[in-house]
Amino acid sequence: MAKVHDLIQELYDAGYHPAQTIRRSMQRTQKPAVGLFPLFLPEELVYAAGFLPVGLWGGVSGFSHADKYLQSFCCSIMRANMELAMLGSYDVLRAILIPSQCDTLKCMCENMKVALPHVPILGVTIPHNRTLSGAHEQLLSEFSYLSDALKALQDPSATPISLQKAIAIYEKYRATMMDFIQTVPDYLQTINAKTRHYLIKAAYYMDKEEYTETLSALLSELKKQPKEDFHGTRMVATGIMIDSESVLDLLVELEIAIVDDLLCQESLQFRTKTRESGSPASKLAYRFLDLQAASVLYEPKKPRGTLLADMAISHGADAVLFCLTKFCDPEAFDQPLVQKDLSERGVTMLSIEIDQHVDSVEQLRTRIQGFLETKL
Amino acid sequence: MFLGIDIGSSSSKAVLLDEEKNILAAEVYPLGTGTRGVQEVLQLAFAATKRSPDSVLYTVATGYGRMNYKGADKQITEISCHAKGMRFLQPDVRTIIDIGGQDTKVIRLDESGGIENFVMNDKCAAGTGRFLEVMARVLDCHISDLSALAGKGQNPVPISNMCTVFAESEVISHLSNNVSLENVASGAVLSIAKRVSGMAKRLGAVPRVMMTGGGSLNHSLVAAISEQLELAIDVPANPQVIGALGAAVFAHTLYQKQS
Repeated sequence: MAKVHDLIQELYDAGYHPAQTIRRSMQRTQKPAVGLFPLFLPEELVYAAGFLPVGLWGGVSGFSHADKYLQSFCCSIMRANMELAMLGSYDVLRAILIPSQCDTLKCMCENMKVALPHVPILGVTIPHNRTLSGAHEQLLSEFSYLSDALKALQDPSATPISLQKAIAIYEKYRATMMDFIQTVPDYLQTINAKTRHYLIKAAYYMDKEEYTETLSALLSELKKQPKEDFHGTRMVATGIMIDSESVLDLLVELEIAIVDDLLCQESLQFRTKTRESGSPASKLAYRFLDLQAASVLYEPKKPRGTLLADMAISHGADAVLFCLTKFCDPEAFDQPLVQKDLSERGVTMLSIEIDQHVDSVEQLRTRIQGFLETKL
Repeated sequence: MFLGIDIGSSSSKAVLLDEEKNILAAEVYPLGTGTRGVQEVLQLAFAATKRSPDSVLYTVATGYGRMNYKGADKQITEISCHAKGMRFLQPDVRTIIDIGGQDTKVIRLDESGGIENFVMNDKCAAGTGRFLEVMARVLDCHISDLSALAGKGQNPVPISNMCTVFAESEVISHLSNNVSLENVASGAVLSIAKRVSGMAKRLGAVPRVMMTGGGSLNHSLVAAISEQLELAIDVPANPQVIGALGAAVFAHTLYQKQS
């Protein structure tokens, strides 16, 4: 068990201290880092071009600069990213990629060019209506532009690899992550909600091969241990993210474990498999087109509620935890639809607001504790 | 004796019950969590019973400051406690609207008194007692006089901002445009009534509706919410202590179970 705890600690620290982890990863790989904004981007293209892709999911507390470009009703991830950019934290990056998946992201792409003129900002236009045949073509065209732009930023000593190889590395990472997701429910004492989150988050700051290797070693050791009893509350989380330390601490304190998720920052990044046929770029395009159950994606049939109900029932979960990122319109629009679908299947839903910068969680504590007292 | 203590954001409440669930004391002190309010209200309660604190067999704490009260055997949310306390007094209650200093909650009960569902405001102070406090300050009246002032308003001025900070600016703007204090007060009360009734409609309020918490001391507010909901709303004799009463009832039950 000591080895399990050591490996957990290693990954937990990597996820908990992003700046430190990125510096170490750059040193180990000798690759320049490229930042990737939420929510979904073709990370394999960046990896293939010989860069270290790192996730930029906010995290700073307190804003003194970001308001120059963003209103206070923008989500905390974007405000934090702007603040970090203006504080110089992103100066180490060779470039920053920003997708067009919501209105704030579209504005961010332009604002960042002004706020951070010394770091190239590469906007990536993701087709919103993914049901049109042109969506595939547009993605191929975007990937081509992105590959060229990344190539122009390479050092002479860069060591690019083929996109096919990068996809293979990421497929292995995705399979390992799904193994982790499926293994966690058997070890909910060892991997509580907070540990689960930071272990997954570590992947944003480490080289994918190194991360996959470490996580595989952890899974191998963990599976040697007897399965654990858990007498707390099991929930399936959904939303953009659950990345608020005070909220995670509260979940642990109230003995709420996350048994599965449809969170953009977590399993939605690796849940969709790459198709087996087609060119590497086409495979990558279809990974976007095949993505499901994120509020920012156009989905005429809105499968999110049904998928969540299936997951909650198959895991024997007590409830679905809807993590509504503060000021996120796409999430707010999805919420009643998800609630209706869950209700029809007899699955209870607890909705909480996620703000990365919550200092006081007392009202949230009342809401969650009240839910546990009355609903379960 | 069984103690229920409700440590709110702006007041502390204590209720003591005897073994037969008779109310021995029900006290309110206008200071909340993190202040001497807890000691003061306990002193008042024990003084009223003329019994020693040592005779308390079980204590349940509720309210915003419940986690910090070291003397509690158990902490239970004010959602469960208001439901328990109100049901204890009025078994036919089906919807409870609790407007506290920092939280507003609407709780729907089933016929057997179980909680079917609840909604509460988020971190924002809109629709809470804090909103009323801020409005009273801007209107230069004591919060206890706000109800009477609002009752005199013939043409409530609309307060469109739900954010308390922005609403304060809006009220100042109305006052500087010579809108009467009464009409501004009436508008402020109507604004909070709309927000709270919106929450109640979302939950599906069913009669009998009762209001608890400090907000229910504002009769103009109760009337405005009733009008918005198109449902009669009753207020118990001492609405601020309902959470503490529920906590004391829980304390009684939990002690019986334990022993």
